Amino acid sequence: MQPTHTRLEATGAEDAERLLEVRKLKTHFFADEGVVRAVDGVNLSLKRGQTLCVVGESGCGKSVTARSILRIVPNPGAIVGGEILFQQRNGDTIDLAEMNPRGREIRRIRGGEISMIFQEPMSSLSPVHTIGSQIMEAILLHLPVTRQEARKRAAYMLDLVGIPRASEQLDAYSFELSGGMRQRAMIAIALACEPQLLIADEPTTALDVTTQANILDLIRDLQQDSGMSVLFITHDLGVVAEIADEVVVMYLGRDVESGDVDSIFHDAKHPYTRALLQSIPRYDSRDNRRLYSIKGAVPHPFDRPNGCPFHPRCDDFIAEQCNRIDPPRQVISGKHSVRCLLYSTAEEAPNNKDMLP
Amino acid sequence: MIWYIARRIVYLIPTLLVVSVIAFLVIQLPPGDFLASLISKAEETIDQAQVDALRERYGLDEPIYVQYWKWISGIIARGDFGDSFEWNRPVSDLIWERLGLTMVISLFTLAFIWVVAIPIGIYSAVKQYTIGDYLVTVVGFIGLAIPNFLLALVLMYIAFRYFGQSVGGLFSPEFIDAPWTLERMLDMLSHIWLPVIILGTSGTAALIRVMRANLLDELSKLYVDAARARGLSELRLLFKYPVRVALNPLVSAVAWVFPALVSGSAITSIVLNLQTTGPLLYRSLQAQDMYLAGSLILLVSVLTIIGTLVSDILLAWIDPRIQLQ
Amino acid sequence: MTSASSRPPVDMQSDQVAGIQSDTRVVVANQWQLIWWKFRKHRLAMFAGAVTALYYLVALFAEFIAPYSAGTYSAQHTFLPPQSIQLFQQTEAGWRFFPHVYGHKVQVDQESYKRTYVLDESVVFPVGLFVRGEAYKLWGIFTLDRHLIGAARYGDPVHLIGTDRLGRDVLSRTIYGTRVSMSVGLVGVGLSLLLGVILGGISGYYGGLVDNLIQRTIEILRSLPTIPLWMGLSAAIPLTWPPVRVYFAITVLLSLIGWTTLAREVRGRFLSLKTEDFVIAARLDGVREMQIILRHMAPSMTSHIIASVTLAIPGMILAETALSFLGIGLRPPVVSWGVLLQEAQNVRSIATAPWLLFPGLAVVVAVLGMNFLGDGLRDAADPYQT
Repeated sequence: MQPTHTRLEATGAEDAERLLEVRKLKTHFFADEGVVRAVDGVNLSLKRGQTLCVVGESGCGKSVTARSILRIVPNPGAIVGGEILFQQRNGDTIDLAEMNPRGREIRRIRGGEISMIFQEPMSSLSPVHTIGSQIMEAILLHLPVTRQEARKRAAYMLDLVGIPRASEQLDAYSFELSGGMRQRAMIAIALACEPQLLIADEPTTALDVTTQANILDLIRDLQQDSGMSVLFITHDLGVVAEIADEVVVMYLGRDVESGDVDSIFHDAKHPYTRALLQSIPRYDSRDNRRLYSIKGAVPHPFDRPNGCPFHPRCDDFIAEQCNRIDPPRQVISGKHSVRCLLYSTAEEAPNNKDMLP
Repeated sequence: MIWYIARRIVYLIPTLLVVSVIAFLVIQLPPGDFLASLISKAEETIDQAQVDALRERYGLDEPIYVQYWKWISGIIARGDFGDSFEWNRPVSDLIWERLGLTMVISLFTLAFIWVVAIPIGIYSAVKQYTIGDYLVTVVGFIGLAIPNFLLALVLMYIAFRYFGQSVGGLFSPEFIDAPWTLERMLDMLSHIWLPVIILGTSGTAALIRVMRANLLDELSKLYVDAARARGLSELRLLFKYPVRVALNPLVSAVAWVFPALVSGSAITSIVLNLQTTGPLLYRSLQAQDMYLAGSLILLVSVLTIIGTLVSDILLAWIDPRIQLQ
Repeated sequence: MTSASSRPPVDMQSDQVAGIQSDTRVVVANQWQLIWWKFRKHRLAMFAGAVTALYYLVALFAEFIAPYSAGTYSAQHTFLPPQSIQLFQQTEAGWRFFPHVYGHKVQVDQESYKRTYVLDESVVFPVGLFVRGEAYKLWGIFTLDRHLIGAARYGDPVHLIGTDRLGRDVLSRTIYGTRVSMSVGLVGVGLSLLLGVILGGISGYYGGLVDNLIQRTIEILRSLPTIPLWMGLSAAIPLTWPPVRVYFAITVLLSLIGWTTLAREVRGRFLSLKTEDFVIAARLDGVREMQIILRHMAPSMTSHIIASVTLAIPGMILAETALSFLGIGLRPPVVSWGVLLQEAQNVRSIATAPWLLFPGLAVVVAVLGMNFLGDGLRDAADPYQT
């Protein structure tokens, strides 16, 4: 495969469509006990108006990737390498990874061009401020409006996300709303300034199933109306099937496989992806087989395996290969690519030296 | 909110009842009834009629609950706290100014504690594990470990040894018994800083730790990240969200800091010779002047209970979640 | 237990030969071992623990450690300033190791007849360890005459921290005071704990009306200014009571008001434990209430209670010191830090003899040590939390 860099330059038309391009992103945490390589060379690419799902087990670096994009990685974490290219509204492409995380520039992006919603709607709203004041805060920060206009817009936003009696709820506190309503309010805050990109970090995990479906529908509807892109982080493959255009499967801080939703679901290559798909419970299974589960557990962050990070849990493990060679990224077809030695061809390997860490 | 306040005030009634019983108990505790000690202390013989009148007034021949009723109803209905035998005056003549000064010192100290503890606590939390944080922690622990009266003694010694002046008292000699004027007020303000610092040290140390711990808790909460993701600047973010939330427990901390202040001021005032309730209580206890002592304990307790009530209401006002409970 | 086996403690990694054994040991590491491992990392708390242990050792062996008895006085050496130990002495042959202190000459001011001490380097009193001195009965049983430190020649006036107005050795009295003050804290907290655990446990376990009643009581007690109350109550202790009874009366008074904090802690723990799965499971299995409390809930609370107790002792010590300082707590001839500080009640006496504040230093260090220790224990009390 050619490095993405050159390809991006080559096709200008595609370039215009591309909103976000994450290249070899590395975010590490420097703890007393050692360095945790939470994100270690992730590549993502997201087009305007599309939805990209990032999937993987807990602890594989999905959330850290999302936070890295907004530069809100908690201490003692820091981006140590890679690029996060983002095309602003004015057409300029900037590298978010190079920005000062406390600077004015990134603050203009946050909430204005890229918004984020989090896993637990209860704790992502301030317990002592009204919903209205938190929406208005976002509006006043990014839009040139008066307080009154901001309040009006806040009420409009609450209405838009389907909160009944919106203008009354402006003065409600988060503890007065149900979980689903809180997540709707979070979405209202996030979309108040019409961002180009919404990062949703497992927004439905803490909600019950019916509410989950409602929130997913809401996000999809709003996306259709506004044309924004969505980066959706989840461990729920059912959700992925429902909303994704493209999928990135992550394992231990790596994108092990990526492609459009069809090729991931129907033509999965990486043993990890296949294992994930197998572990979805099916209602239609006739025999009473036990539910498949991937053997072993995600390793402790300090003892990360050499070679392919998945090899200790892999059924197709090739001795003396997988535990030594870090598999390069391999294009299967079109957008579909995988990082696994099973698909590596000898003649292509040298070209991918730059992909090795 | 009104319901909340009303409920709190209703809760107050049993508390006040218990306090009054305890104060009455203190009056009753010394062996023998106080008339015996009154007679033994009197310089000239008291005639029997006078003794009988007192016996009647305090209901000394009647069961204990009647005595209590006579005492408490006298206080509530007429503000009659009984007589001080040592001073030979009604108790109520002696206590109001001292009670006022106790209140003034306690409130000043409370203000001092807040003004010092909050910024240092914020600093310590934001700069967790830096040298400054460690320094604050160690100094805070030392502040907690030094008893008020010891600090008072040491500061007095330093002032005496190195500045050649004896500090202490709330007023310059010429103002001690003067009526309240602007000059007297200013004179008091120029003296009050020392007791305020002494009394405030341990409270400040405690509140710094509370503030630091609270803020550290809040800083890691998701709503901080959410607000940051909205594009808020770090400083505004800090003060608008986590600091604001972390302040709530600090307001409720008044409920335990205030009694401790009133309590601590009793001893510090004795050492520093301040005209507060402490030295008067001390003297009345030594002289077994029990009506004075009991009244002082009652009033000081009522004072702290009211302080606690105010802090509760304040908390409910700033934290909307409280009223719901 | 998997969390324990995934991270072996440091000292076991070198234990390669006995690999299997150490593995099994790791797997059975109980809660107390985990607490100890976690606590050990907390350097300051470890140090504070050592200091606290030292205090209790001093309290235990006060007679042996103190150079003099608490009551020994010397009319010729009143308000003697502290003498600093000189470790070496210069002789013709050079410096030699010879621990000693210098004597003092008395100068009497002709006008004011005020006595002042002037250091007299010509008079040398050798100082030694394990010296023979006044005879004493250790714990009232063993008659001994050895002292940890003191004048090498019996009868020399060696007073490392000086003397008070009766010429009593301040260091010795502070050491004896350690016994009383530290034990008041311990006994007082013991009583508070009893009250706190019983009432807090009842409150947390049964909830409802009982809980409400006990919580109200605690709130009332907490909103009272303790020192005026203590003053009032302890002033009622008859002057004629013997010292031991006064001592117990004071500790009872202290714990009567001090139990509320512990009760709150216990109640809070009970409430959170009550909804834990293992407690619910035990109840569904039909285990009796008492059994649930003793077998299932008590063990997981003990570590927290120990931490709270450690943090409660300093409060007791401070309260006793304050009351005795005012003269309405313990009274002479009982020697506690507070009683000793009574000697330093006004500026004039401190100005004459600042070393009378030495017991205050003992208080501060003791309280500091126990606070740090308690803090460390509290952090370690929940070893499963990272």
